[in-house]
Amino acid sequence: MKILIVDDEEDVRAIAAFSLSRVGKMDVIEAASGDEALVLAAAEAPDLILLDLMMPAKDGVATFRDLASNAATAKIPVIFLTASVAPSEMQRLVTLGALGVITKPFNPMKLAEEVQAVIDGAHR
Amino acid sequence: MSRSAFSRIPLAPIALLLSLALTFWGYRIARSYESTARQQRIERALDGVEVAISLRLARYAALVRACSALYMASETVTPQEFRHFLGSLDLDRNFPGVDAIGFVDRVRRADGSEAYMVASMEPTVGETTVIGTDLANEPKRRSAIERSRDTGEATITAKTALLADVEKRPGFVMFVPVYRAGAVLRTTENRREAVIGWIWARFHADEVMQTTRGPLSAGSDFAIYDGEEPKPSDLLYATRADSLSTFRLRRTVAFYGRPWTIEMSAEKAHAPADAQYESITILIAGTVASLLIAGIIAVLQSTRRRALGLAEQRSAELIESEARTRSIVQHMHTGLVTMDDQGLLTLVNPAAETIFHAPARELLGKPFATLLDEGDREFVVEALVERGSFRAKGRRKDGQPFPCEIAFFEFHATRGRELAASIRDLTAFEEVEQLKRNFVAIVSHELRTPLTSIRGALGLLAGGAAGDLTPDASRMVQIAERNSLRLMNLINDLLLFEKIEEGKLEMDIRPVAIATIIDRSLEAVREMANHHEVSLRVNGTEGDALADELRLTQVVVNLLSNAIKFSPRGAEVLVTTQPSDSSIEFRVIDHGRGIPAHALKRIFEPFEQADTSESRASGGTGLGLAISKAIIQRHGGTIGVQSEPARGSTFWFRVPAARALVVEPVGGGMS
Repeated sequence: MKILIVDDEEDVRAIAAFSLSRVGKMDVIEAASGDEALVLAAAEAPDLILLDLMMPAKDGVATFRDLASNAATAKIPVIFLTASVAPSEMQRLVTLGALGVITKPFNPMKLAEEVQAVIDGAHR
Repeated sequence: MSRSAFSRIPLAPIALLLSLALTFWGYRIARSYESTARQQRIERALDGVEVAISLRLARYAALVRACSALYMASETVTPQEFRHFLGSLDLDRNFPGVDAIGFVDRVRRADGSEAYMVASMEPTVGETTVIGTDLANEPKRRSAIERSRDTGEATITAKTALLADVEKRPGFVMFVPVYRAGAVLRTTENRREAVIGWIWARFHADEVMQTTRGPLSAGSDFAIYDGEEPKPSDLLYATRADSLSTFRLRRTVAFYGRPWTIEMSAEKAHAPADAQYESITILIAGTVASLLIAGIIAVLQSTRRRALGLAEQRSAELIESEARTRSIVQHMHTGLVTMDDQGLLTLVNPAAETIFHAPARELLGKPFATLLDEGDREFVVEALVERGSFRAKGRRKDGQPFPCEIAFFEFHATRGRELAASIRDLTAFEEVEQLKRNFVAIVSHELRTPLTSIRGALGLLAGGAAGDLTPDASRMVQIAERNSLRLMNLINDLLLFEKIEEGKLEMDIRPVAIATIIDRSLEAVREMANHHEVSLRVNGTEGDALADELRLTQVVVNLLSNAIKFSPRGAEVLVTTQPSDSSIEFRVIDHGRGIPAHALKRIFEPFEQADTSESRASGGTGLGLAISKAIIQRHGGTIGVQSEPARGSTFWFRVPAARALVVEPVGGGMS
């Protein structure tokens, strides 16, 4: 499975990438901004995108809309990463079409499991 | 005249003088009345004495005339016949006071002069020397004899001592002429010619008067003088030897040719007892009443003066107090307005002018509602009824809305209860609030983001994702990871608490299986329990709660964490759930050292722990129970604790149960 991690925080990105690749044995590509994510997603066609919600310039929701509006990336499932835990916010994101939400801080040893759980839950 | 000038008039002395004058006037009138009454009483007594004497003397005259008639009717009256005649009259009984009675013979001497010889005298006992006395040699008797001879009337002598009376008691003698039978008595000459003798009767004045003092004169003191002047030498009789009274009434009356002067003395004893003291009573009572009136007036005046003084003082105090209150209202920093019962503004202080950017004169008389943003007016009217304090949007003069806090309160005024409102401009306060919120947001993001990385990196290291570590390195990484976790929890608790405080904690309440909550909670604390060597046991997981799964789990985790932290090694922590009709009760029971009674009361307050030193030792923030309580309350549930030192604690809470019939999730968007 190839996963695109989008986060403006380089350290968070590195840990998530490390976690998913080493613990989850996944292929990971990284993007530091929404725009970079749009390019990479179109170019690499990942199986899943982990998208940080709060980013400068183009935030998570805007990036998500752009991905959805591009036929090349519209079908790639997206899981939001967010520090916000307000249920209404989660609900809003799911309503937008996201596969699910994983809250930060995440347990790096279990991030892959959580991702798999969201995928399984969405497909059930 | 001013009131104070009036109060300075010496009313009491004036009243005293007036009242005393009135009393004295009354006294004089009473005295005058008393005096008149007394004089009238004495006049009456004098009349009585005069009448009594007249009657008595008339009686004597009648006796003497009767004797005279006897002599005129008979050529010769022998002394024996005369004695018998007198005896038949019973002199002692019918004519008391008569000392003696007899005949005086007219004797023509050879030289042509006349002698008036006492021829007889009855009674004669011891009085033999009187017989043969020539009364013509004694002027007083001669005068009376000749007067009776000339007038034919009875006459009496001036005061004289009776013949042969060694005591020389005052007395008088009465004469009635005896004319020749058949003589013509038309003129004085006729009478002088025809007289043959006289019947005389003599009297001791005291004996006459003592038997004369009848009922009319009884009780009165009087004196009788012969003549027209009360000369002591002419005193015939006096009821008392001393004549003490100052008041005397005198009358001269002619008795049988002699003027007698009767003098009545007035004695207090003669006046009725009640009338006697009338004037004195008036004087005393009047004086006492005057003093009383003056005293009362003095007291009243002094009281009035004091009251006026007090009123002036109070008035001054009131003015000062009023000025002080006004000054406070003028200078206070809180806006203050008052309104009448129509809600129209009656007072606007300078602080309120500043707040609303409008001078008071423009606001006075306008409805209170004009101070508010239109959207808030209705709500404020409701609040006004409840007299509470609340936040609202005010409206400045230019229409600009601003946040403010308004507190309505009633106060008592002279016109009754009035309404006032204190107003605080919260613009600056809300700016600070916003800064605080911004700060919290920064903390939320900027502090958590690097911490997320630290924790992630340490987690990966500790989990062996980066390869095996040496035992020492592994231990250090674990310490770092544990403390980063603690720091993360602290930040999370603070952020959550801040949200709760602001009322911005969102809840997603829907039916949740109790089993799910318990499973997730146990999973979250299992590692910690292992670390503390505490075993976890569950009793009962049936039923569904109507709850926010995430938040309720957070509460159970919190209670379990506390139980584990405070349990000794090897102990057991028990979780039980007990469903009832309407609620589910969760219990977390430990066998730790318990909580002292004094700490129990505040255990759910923020930053409270049974022992503050526990905070560091146990790694708690002191916010866990406060957050738990807030979450349970947001569920409409209750939370509590029972604890016994050295026996352990039981934390419990109840949340609503999800009934089987409930199909629709409740409050999915509840916030």
